[in-house]
Amino acid sequence: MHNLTKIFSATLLIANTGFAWNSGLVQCDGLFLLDWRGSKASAKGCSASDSLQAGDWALGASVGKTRYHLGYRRDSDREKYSWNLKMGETLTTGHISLSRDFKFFGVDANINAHPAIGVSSRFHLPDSLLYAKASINAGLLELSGIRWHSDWEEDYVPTIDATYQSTVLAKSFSAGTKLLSHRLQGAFFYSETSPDIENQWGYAFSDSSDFWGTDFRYLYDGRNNKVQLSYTYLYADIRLFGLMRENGDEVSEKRFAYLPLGLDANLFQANFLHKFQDGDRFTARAVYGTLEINIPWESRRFYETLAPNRALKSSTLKTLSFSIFQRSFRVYGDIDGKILDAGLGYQWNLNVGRWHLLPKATLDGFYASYIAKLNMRKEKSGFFHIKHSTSTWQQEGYIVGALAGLGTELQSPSNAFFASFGMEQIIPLHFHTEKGPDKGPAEEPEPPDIPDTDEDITTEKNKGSSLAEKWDSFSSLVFRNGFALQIQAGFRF
Amino acid sequence: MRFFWILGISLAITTLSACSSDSHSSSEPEDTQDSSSSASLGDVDDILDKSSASTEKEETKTEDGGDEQTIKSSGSTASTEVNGLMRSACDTKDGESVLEALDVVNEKAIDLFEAFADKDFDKGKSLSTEVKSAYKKVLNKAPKNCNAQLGYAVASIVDLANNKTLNDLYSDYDFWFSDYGIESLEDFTDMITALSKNKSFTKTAQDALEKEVAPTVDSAITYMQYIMAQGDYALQLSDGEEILEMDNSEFGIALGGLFATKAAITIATSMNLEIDDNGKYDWINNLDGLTVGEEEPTAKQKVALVKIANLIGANGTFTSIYSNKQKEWKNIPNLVDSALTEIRAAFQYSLNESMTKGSQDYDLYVVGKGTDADISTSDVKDIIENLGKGLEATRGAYEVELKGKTFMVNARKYFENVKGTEPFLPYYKFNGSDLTTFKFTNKAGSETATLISFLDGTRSFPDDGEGVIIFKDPTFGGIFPDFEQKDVWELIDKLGSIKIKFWDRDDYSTGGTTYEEYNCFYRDDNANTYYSYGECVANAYGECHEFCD
Repeated sequence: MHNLTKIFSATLLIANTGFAWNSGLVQCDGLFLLDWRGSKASAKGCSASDSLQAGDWALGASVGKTRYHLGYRRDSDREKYSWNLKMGETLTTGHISLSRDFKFFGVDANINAHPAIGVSSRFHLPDSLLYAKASINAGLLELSGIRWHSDWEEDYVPTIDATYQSTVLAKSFSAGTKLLSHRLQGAFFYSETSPDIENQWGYAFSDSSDFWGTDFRYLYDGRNNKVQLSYTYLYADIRLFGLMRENGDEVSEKRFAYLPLGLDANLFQANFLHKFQDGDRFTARAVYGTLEINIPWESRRFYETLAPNRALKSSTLKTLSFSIFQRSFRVYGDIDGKILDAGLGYQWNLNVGRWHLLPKATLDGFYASYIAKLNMRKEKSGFFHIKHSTSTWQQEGYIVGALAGLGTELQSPSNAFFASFGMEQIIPLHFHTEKGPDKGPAEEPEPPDIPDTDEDITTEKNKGSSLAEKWDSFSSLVFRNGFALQIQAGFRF
Repeated sequence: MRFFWILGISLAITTLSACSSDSHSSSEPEDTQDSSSSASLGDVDDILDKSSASTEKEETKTEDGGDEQTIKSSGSTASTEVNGLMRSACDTKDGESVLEALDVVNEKAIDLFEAFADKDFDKGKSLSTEVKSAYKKVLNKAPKNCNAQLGYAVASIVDLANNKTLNDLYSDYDFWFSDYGIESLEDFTDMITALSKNKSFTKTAQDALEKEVAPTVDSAITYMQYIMAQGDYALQLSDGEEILEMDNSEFGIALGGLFATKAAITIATSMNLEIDDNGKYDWINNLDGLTVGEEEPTAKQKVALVKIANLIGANGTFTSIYSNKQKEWKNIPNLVDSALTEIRAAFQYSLNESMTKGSQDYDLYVVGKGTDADISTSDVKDIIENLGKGLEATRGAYEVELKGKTFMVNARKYFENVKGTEPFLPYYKFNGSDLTTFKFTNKAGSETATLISFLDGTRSFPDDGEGVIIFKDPTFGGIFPDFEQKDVWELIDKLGSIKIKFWDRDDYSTGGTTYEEYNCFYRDDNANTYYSYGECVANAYGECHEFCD
């Protein structure tokens, strides 16, 4: 990271020599979603980026810090079954990129602090009548600071401190044509992740997944009007797993969690912008998306969704636990969701001397719905007994709400400098949830998260009738507290 | 050009994907229903009464009655597949009706263990009597049947939960400790007095163990030994979908556990633990407020100390072994040896199985390297190694290291002594009634110190003990074969300096961030004070554990 800072500084110095076009941006963002009984999600960060163009060369660099925090608290009447799941860390981000344009070709290279590297090549006819781009990126995806902690200190596994790490290889290809103010573009992208756990000890999570998708878009960039229509599709086969890895005379690694996910997502977007003669702008947008998540049935031994016995550290107790008290859980089912969002915005252009003040207001209405049907099969075994039972958990619901945004931007003469501030607030208007009939031959269903033991099922049974009410209250708080902030300052010379 | 092909293909796939409702189709498990037999335990008699004339035909029968049989050789015992489960020859040799009856009883046995695993004790107790009785019926019909022997052995142990004597004993103690609440020495005395109306509370407990528990454990050991003698007998059970196989990996541990239980029962029932004074326990109350090394005991305390001195002194009976139990007492090391040997053999069996592909497919746990196993081979090897060390310690002198001091211990020698504490005492003289006459002496009988001087603080224990308190046998009957007087005092010193550390967690928040603070303490019993080793503010338990350890 130290080197990145140097390169970032060097970019600024080169820009000051006056031989290049230079633009820079300092930006701080904050996203604060829900803060309810220990459950919260927040992210905030600042970054500075700079890019310059000199002839056929372009150089870019950025540095930044981002801190995110996700937390989920499971409350139960009994201390034994209450727990916290937290995830958060401070990330130092940064990148440098270098581009070179030739007559018909161009090449780009970038190095990211994650770390990741990427290269791409571009082909284009004069005036971009036809153009194409191929990219390949490889990097390391790493999340640390994942902690599950039971309120019950004497729990067999009171704490799980985990890391997630896998390598990513992403490829993409896009091609398009531009005719006058019209642009038509299609893209295909593919990526895969591979486990990278060789040097991870303790609770190590990783995945082996495949993603691919396409993106098609039409853009019209007229003098006073801009139109953008796009369709994006994403397909993913995700196989998440958790291992207990211990280093001794020989490496001991046992899989205690496995979650295969199939994912289909469709996203349609339409954006329209009209620029008035006096500089005011009117925007309209519409988004429609669907998301289908499928957790397939997995019957193989050692591929349970959760097998707590294998999460124990090596010990005689662990060995005996398989003969005395063995529990494992398999979750399968579907969760489908869709969202429709449509909004309008207006930005005023106010002249303050030679400066411009651009206040804006946006208002969106959204509708989101989901339907979930999850089955959980509990498998019990031990000396002289083996049993399994399956329970089903169903729920569906929808939310109708609005998203209000206010912001302003200040631009210097010739737009050499600008500063902006914006914020958005979620306003829930109506929420409805309906719990479907639960099916379980012997037991009441449990929520589809880290399973508890039978006593907690009894607790859930008692709470069953008020689950919808609980969720209703929960969700209203979620959205009441959901807002985003953005502050930016930039320059160009 | 290649990219255009990819683009073209992706377009086609996209179109198809977008049209289909869900390309990630959700499959269901083939069978989510439990399969249970329609027969009940009440039908066992009828099933067993069926003619078993077809027994001889069974080995070659392939389709009759829908039964599908395949004969396989599993180790030294031939196994036959019947209705999807592998049956050992030890189980099939008694005929189809016995097998059918066992299927019915096994199913209920699964319910029984399920109930106890789910802490549904009422259901468990109710089932255990029925299941035990049903296995007994099968056993009467087929006395050499392994499944019946195994089932009866484990059901008998579980059925102890229904034993009235044990339940009454549990209820009595539960009342005193849970409802009444034992908070003082006087409460304790009240309890043991109340529990000793007909005979002493210790004798009541010893009788319950000896007469109610021990015979059941002995019987179970006999059955389990028969099963282990089969070589590689295995029993498969099913919940209608999954198969569970129990083999020597489990039977060995169960048998080892039974031997260990037998050893514990023998220890508890062989010792004279009577502490009454002509049937009364009031004398114990006199010990209230007694301190060691601080002030001279009161007159009442002295009376109580005289009682203790007589209990554990030269002619004391406390912890001596009853004459009719001395043979069993001396056999305890062999029981412990058997326990460790069986458990070690069980783990060795698991380890051996891990080297044969497919041999653990239905085992309760799979030993192996990699992620497709429950337990690592290295873990099992460690357990086997530790059990080996335990066996060494059971069989003879074993080298022990304690806080830098290395010495030999022969635990077996402890069980050669039947005279209680007498052989372990130092030289002393005492008139048996006046504590002030209790004096430590040397071998020649010359006084070296009084007991009172250690109680009132004139002398400090153990610092002033060496050279003053002289043990008759510093090897303590050969338990510490190399010990001399100085070694005894060095060991006492080291034992006294052991401080048990423990954690205390105290979270605190500052600046909106919550920190988890761990304090590491040890308790000094003499000063009755907690000392802190320091604090550790950490994000991970591991870091702080290392700090405290």
